[in-house]
Amino acid sequence: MLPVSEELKEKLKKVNTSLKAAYPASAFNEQRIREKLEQVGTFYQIEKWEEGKLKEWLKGQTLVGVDGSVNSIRGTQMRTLSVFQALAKGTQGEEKWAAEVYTPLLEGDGEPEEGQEAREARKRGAILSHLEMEVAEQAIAEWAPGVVMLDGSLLHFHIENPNKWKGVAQTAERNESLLIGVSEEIGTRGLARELFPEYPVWSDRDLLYGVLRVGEAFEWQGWSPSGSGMWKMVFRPSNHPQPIGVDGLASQYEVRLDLLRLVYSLTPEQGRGIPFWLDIVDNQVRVTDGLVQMMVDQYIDPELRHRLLIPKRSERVI
Amino acid sequence: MQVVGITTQQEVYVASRERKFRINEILVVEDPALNFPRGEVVETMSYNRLIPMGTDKSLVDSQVIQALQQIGYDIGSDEINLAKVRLYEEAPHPIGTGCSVRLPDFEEVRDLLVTTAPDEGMLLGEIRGTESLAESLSEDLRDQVVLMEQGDLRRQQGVPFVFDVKAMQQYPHVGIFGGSGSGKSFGLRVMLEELMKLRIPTLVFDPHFEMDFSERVPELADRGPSFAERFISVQIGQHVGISFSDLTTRDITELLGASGGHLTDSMANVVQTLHRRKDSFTSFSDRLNNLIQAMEEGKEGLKRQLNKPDLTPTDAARVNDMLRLLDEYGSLPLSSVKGIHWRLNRLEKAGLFHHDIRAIERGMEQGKLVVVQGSTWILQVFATYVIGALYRKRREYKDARMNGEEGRFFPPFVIVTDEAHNFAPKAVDSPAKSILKEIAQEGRKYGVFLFLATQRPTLLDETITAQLNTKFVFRTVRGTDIATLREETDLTAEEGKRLPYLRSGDTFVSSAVFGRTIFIRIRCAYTRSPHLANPFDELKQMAGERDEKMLKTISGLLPLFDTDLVQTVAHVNRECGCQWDVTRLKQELDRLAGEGRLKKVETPFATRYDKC
Repeated sequence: MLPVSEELKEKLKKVNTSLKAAYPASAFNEQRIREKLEQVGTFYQIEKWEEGKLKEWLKGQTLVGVDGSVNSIRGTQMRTLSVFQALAKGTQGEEKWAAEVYTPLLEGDGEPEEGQEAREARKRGAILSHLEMEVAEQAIAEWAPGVVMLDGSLLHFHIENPNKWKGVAQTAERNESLLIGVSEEIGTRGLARELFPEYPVWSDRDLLYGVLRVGEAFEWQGWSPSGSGMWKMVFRPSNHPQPIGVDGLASQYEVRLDLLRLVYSLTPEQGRGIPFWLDIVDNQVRVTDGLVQMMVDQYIDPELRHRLLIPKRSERVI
Repeated sequence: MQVVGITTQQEVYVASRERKFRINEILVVEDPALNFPRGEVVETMSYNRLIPMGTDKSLVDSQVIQALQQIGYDIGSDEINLAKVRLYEEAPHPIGTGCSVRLPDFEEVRDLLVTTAPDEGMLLGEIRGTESLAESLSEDLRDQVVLMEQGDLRRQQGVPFVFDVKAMQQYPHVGIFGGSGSGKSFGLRVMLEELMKLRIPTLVFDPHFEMDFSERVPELADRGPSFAERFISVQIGQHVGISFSDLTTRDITELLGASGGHLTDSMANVVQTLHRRKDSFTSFSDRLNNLIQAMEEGKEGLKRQLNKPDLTPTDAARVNDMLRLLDEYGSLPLSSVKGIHWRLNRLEKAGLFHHDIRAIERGMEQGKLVVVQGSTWILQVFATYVIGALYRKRREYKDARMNGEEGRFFPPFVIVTDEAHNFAPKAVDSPAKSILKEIAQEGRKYGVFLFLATQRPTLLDETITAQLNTKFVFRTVRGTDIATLREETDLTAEEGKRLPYLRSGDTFVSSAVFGRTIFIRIRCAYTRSPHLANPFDELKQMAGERDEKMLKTISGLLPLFDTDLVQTVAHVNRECGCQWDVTRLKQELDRLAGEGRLKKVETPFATRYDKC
């Protein structure tokens, strides 16, 4: 048996009770939630593309998946080195790569400040989305693909770097490439607040769990305020009960259901609900621990490596 | 193609995106530091990292793959082929990872595959996995064999396998192992054809009556020599037999032992006591017969006979003879004497003593292949004798030469038998075993070699198995046999695992001549066995023919009433050569009516059979 202290057990049991109180099972009545959802938004039942139709719809153009990955060597927040990679991969074999390396050791005056760590994390996020937008823009400009599917919400790119994003969106519109963002997690809470103001801790994700049927999408105008220039829907393309978030450009609002059909057609039924093409891109771009470690070992002088980067904890004996 | 992963001094993994590796093909690793080592693919794998396997990963449904294909993505292009390559010679240090790997030219690997010219050795088949060498194959090795693959004949696509007979002087004897349907018998046939091609005197024991070489495979009529005058087949009792007066007491003991289980001590004693040198069959058999009669009559009974008034002088001599026998041998147990008599008669009735082995000796001297046919038990008895006799002749000649004498020439020869475990079983005594063992151990000195085939290597005598320097291993399913074969050959664990799944006609050749195992496919034989027709087809054909004949015979007599059947049956019997009675004829007519070939109409007065 695992040596777990009594105290820890008690505390976990208490947390469980509190969670139950905050998220009562009785409130998650699927039927009731669906009724409420129907009042504020619209359900759509999506069909997969039939054989041959998909090709017709894409007019022989390619589908590009865009994903990025970052990984850092094991170390403390400030004494680390991060490797970034982004890839835009077309289904007809086209590939665009971008890479970046970043270390906080070369930034600022060295004095640790309040909130520095959070800033570093944000910074890494910004670098990564910049790279992703970069490859996406290049890919669109060069290949004029039918559809560009990005891993993560488009809104997130917009918030991260509005100017860069504007460039990407305009390039896409110019080349008549459809953009779609697919995010695994739904991070918003607006819908839950609107429908269940009595449960302030709820988020949209908790609310939508298991509510949509397979192949069903739900649209709520509240997710797409007019200023953002985006549309957003949630969609359950696989047996997994947790829906995914999908968003696109407001200017391409008309074809949003076709885009959902594409997502649906490309998603394995047994999977977690992400189109397989994005998984393939992710598989290729992923910066693994081994890769980072190997690159650092290869290109950073051992002396510097030991002096600056390697934490003592990595030398624990057990 | 590239070396990947961890390498050792014996094994490397090679990966390729484009090329699918073939099992047993030869690859050259371009590692100049190790002088470009060569190796053989011993295991192949292929995987697609995008279509994972495992219970923890979800499955990608075919619909998604189809959708991806529609938009131009071929998921198959992400397939990676892997091969485990074992080096022929151990390297002094591990091979560098990342070295490129290529297919060799034939000349680079000739020494590994071919040791003799096709017309000097036995051309047995094609080496598997050598297809890539076909382009650079030298002229003398092209188009040497034709192979049968999935029922179709095809031309040679790789390097032919030529077994160097001359190397047998150094590495004697051949074993052929494999279960039924593994292609073992075909393999044996091909070997015999090649022995005939080389005009090597060969003695074949054929319990299955299948070794006939007069029927050619029509598609291959232009290949190979004509075998008709290169073999003779003889049947024990009809063409060949044992000349009884040549037998020593020991020979007779062994022969009688072989003719019906082991001899008891007292039976052996009977033979030793009663047999005399130069006895003919009649004199020995008469002696036994008289002794039995004498023992049954008893001394008193015989003496009474002597006193009979009407006794002729011949009878008197016979009775006196019996009395003498009784005096001399009366102490032998009657049941043992009777047992010996019975066994001797059994051999005699099989015709064993009516002929001699001169036909075989002549065939061997002419460089022919001599097939000896007979049922299993008599074959064992005869084999013991004939192998011993021929081996002695050969040995006497060689020994005489060694002593500087002229000697009478007897050629070196090869002994071939299927079901060898019957001739030389492990742990059990058998008449032929001691002579086979002697040849296995000493035969190469005299130029006498064994080709032994069996389904059950586990049951074959171990001393003999150990002396088989070349082993052909066909498909084997039985676990114990696989274990035996793995012990007795240099088959690796991977090859052992493949044994139950080998295709008929594919075989591993584990040979001291090559110093390693080679995987080959046996060529198509030029001749075929007389029993190729399926017995069930035969049954169907015969029944069909008989029905046709019968219908034809009665067609002139139709309509037939059941009252006419008595006359009809005589007619049918005469025409069709059968021996039916009325009931049988009626049964047959009813059957034909049931099959719809005749019409049967039943009225209250009679039954009528008519044309349909």
